[in-house]
Amino acid sequence: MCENPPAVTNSEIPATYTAAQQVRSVYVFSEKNLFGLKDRNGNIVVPAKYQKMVMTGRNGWIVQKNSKYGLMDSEGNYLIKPKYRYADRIFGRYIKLGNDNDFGIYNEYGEAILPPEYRSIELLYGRMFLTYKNFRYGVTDFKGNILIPNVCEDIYMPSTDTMKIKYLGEIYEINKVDADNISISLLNGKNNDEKELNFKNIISDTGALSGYSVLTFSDYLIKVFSSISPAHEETIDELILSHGVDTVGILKKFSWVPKYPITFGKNYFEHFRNPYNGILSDTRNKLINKR
Amino acid sequence: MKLSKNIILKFLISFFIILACLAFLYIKVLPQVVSSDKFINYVENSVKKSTGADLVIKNPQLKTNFNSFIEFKVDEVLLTKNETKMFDLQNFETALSLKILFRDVVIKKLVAQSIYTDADALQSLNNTEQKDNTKKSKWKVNVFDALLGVNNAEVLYSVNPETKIHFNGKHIGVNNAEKGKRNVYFKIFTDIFKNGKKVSVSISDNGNVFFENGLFHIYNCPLSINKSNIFIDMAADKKQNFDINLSSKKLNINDIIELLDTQIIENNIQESLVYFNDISGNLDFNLNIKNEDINGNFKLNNAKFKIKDADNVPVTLTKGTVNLTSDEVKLIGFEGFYDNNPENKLDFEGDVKDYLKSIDTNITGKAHVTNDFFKTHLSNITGTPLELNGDAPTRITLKSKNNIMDLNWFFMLKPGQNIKVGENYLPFEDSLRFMQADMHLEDMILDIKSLDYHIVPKDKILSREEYAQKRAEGEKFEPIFRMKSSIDLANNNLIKFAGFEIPEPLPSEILNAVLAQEIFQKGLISGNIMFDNRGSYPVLDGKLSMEKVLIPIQKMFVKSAFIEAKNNLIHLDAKGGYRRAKFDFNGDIVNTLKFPITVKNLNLSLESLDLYGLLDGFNNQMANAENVINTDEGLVSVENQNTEFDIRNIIIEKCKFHLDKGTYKEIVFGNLDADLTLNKSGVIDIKSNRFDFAEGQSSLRANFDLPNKKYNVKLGILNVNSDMVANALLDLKREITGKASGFMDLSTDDTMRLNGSIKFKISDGAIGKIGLVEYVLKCASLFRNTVTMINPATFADIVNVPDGSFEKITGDLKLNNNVVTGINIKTYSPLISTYIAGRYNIDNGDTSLRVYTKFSDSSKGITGFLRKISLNSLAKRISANNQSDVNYYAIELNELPEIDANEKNCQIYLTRIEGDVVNNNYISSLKKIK
Repeated sequence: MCENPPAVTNSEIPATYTAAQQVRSVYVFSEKNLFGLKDRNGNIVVPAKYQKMVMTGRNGWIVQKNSKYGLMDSEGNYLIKPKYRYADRIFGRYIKLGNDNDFGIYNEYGEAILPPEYRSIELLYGRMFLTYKNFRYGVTDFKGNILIPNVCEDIYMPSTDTMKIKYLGEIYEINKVDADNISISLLNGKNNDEKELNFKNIISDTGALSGYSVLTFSDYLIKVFSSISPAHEETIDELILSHGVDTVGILKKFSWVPKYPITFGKNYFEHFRNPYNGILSDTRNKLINKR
Repeated sequence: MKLSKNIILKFLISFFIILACLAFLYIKVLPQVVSSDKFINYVENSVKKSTGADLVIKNPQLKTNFNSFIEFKVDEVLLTKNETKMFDLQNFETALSLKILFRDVVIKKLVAQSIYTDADALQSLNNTEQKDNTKKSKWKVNVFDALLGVNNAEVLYSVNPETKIHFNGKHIGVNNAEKGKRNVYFKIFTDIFKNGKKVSVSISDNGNVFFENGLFHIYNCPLSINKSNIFIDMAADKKQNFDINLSSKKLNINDIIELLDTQIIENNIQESLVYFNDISGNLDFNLNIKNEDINGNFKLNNAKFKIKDADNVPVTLTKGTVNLTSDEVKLIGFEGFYDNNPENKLDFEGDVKDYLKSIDTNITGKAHVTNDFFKTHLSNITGTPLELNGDAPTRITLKSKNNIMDLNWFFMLKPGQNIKVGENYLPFEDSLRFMQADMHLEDMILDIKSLDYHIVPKDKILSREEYAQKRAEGEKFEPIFRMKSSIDLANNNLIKFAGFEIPEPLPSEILNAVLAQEIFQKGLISGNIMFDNRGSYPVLDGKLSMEKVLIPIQKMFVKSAFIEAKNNLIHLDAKGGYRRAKFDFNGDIVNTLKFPITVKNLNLSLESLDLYGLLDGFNNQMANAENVINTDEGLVSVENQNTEFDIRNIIIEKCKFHLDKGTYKEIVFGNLDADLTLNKSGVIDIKSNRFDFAEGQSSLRANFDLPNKKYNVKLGILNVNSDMVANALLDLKREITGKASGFMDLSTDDTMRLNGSIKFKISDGAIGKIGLVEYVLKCASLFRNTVTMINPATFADIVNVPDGSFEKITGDLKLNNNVVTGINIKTYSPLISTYIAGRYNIDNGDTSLRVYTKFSDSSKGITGFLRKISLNSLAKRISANNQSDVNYYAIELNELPEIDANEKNCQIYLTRIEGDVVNNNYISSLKKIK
């Protein structure tokens, strides 16, 4: 179970800003394909040394320096130093930053709404985030309150107000769900096992001493091969395609080639150790539950 | 008989007893009563009760005699209130003789040690309405032989709230020690305070004031006003015959003005001084008034003053004499200069006859007008920079009687001399020019009967004598310009009528001199036009022509114009340029010169129009607009001369508008024929069914609410250049290409920010960014499915970036204050389709775009086979994360157009773009949704 994130100090930030509200005292200028900030009198506030400088809300600027993303205010002060390989702007005013297992959500002032401890964070209907860490899914609201901790094998929303939760092999469906109408108590009465999953636990859960060792062994044997392609896809996504339209430049430079082996290995291992993505994992988990 | 004797006797006895009683009361009792404490207390208490003031009467004594001689004296009468002394009379004595039958009072003695009076304080004791005490008393008071005197007299008095007088007198009185000659003695010092200023006036007898042989004499008695002295000589008898002589040397004019300004002597000097500032100087005078006969001589030594209404131009008078008689004032030899420069000479002389009744005035003044006056003062007076090159003589003749005034003004410019209005000189510099104005003022109506401007070529200049002879022979000298006007000065300078006449074409700058404004430049103007305001509303009458006239203040060039005002209509026919646009204008305007001006019908043709510049000009009151005018000789730059014009002052009932070519930013439009109206609220409505627009066709409904700065344009478009429109409206250059058809409903205001919607459809168009996305997706397909990379055709996919061409592109954009809040763009082609949703801020280029791209992953031949056996198929399962994405974006995914492939074989990718698309400053991500 993760700790609660720090409270959002500026809770009065509107959901979206109007054009007038986004009028700032500084503006972006470019020099030699790099970006900086100037004030309305033309004075340089931030020299042009960033590959990207994307406005966020009324205060922040997502900056990219040497392929790493961070957050800066309009005076040129770092709110979050550029140390993350991935950045995304959400609703024009939230920022998702992260590398591998340290994705977090921040507001335009650099305050963490979701702490940097997730493998991935995606949007859900009903003003919620779907979080993923330690091979488990969870749900938070836009203020960072944890609505469902990261204990579920799967969570998805087939429609705007319906949520399906797979927990300990069982599928639960919740209707009329949104950030104000969902609670961890839904899972009460179940074995709310929140212990951290690691390789040792996986081995013990699926150990050769259990009655299902043959099934488990077969599942992992297949994963030795079946993880190659997803790991390759994820590596390509991570190194090239996650940069969207910028992919064109990355492809032309071939800078992704030296990084490929390490990234592939990392992704392969992640796939291999995931207890829920094997072809036989569903069958195995059902047998575990019956036990 | 006996009875009647007794009755008479009793009556007589009773009468004498009563008479004895009355005599006793008068001789004995009355004095006792007056001196008694009870009586004094009664009087003091009565005063206290009625006024609240404390009255103290010390030792009053009344002495009565049978011979009607009465004496009264009192040691002190003191009146105070709240410990403030209001009246104090000390050691007062009087003696008088009453002649009741003749109602005659003969004062024998009237003396006091001192008198103090605070007149304002006493006035405050009785605020009740003053009764009219002007009724003449039937009693006669004779003080001619009295012994009069007071040692100290002090009086405080306010003439009005601003003016206070402090009067001090010493040893004032008339003695009667000598038989036949009685000296009048006095020493009087008076300070008059007004608005922080003090005027000191003093006079003393010097032993030269006395009564003798029934006459009153004053010899050389000095009256001091501040530092000026006026000497008084006088003789007067009891029949009020008098002979007064007043004289002074170097009498300070300012001292007299300050004294008169206090209004202790009622006068109307303020009315006269209202035209002047900083008056100083001195004069000598000698004035004799003998009963009703007046004779005087005033000799001006020097005088300086400033004329307020003439930009405070300083005037110095160095000499001048005024001779005054009972029926005439003569002004003789007044000379001086203005603007502190002796070169700027002026002089005047004249006379005023019957100055007490008809004031028959005849004054002639002459001056040399120089550039000092034009540049320093006349420019300020008119508000237009004026300069005079040279030294121009001017003459003003003023004749006036019974408040009817005739003024004749003559002004002449010799060849080589000229007046510069703004940056331009008036025409005909090589000729002699003179202006003659004949004005008449009666009942506050100023009639400019004629203001004629003549030119005489250099070789035809006549001497004064020759000129007079020619006129005597009946030769007429016609002016080149004549102006007439009538102004009601009592009615806020209302112009009753005004007009001018230019028989032969003249340079247009001639009107600048009349208007005292730099309005016209270059070109010729002729005709006669009259503004007649004598009816219920003003009308124009006459004809006027202009040719090649520049009007910088209106950013207008009039190539040719003809105005004919007759009866109810003013017909105007004009061609020229307005800013960069060339216009051809003809129409009829209702001949009612009051706002709003109503244009009945109008044909307006413009050669070109910059619509954005025009709207921007309206919004900024022309402040930032270009200062160029399209003339015959091309574009001419002019100085910025802003004028605010309320469009509601014009109504256009019917207008056929034609525009050859117009621009709005990058959009070019033209061949526009439209019906145009402008209503009384300043709203322009334009309707046109078909015109060229952005390389296509368009129909138009436009509504411009100019006063409220609300503009709306509805455009139906057909085959227009989408890149041109997107660039002009959305600042998106080369983002979308192709011929677009659709509908635009756009509104804006003074911020020039766009609101409304745009719907369009493009056949065979392209969106460049989608080409990039397509390229990325091909790469995704290749790299993610490594086995397919063995297909040689993939090299072509990597090398060639697609241009984003589609068979069809449709769009629906919602704009709100320059933010495209609802982007809905779909592209259609057999193999790939896209749907673009998001938000775009036109002002800062900030974008949030979601680009969904669908294409088929089925491939025929070897690549399809290889894909099927790819290791990927072993683990092909859509993750739960993807399920959420599919559902999260389901609404927008449903908008994706179909392609020619089985839906099961389709892949859908989402490309997100956050940031400035135009300047390539954005972050982007791509992921597979399906």
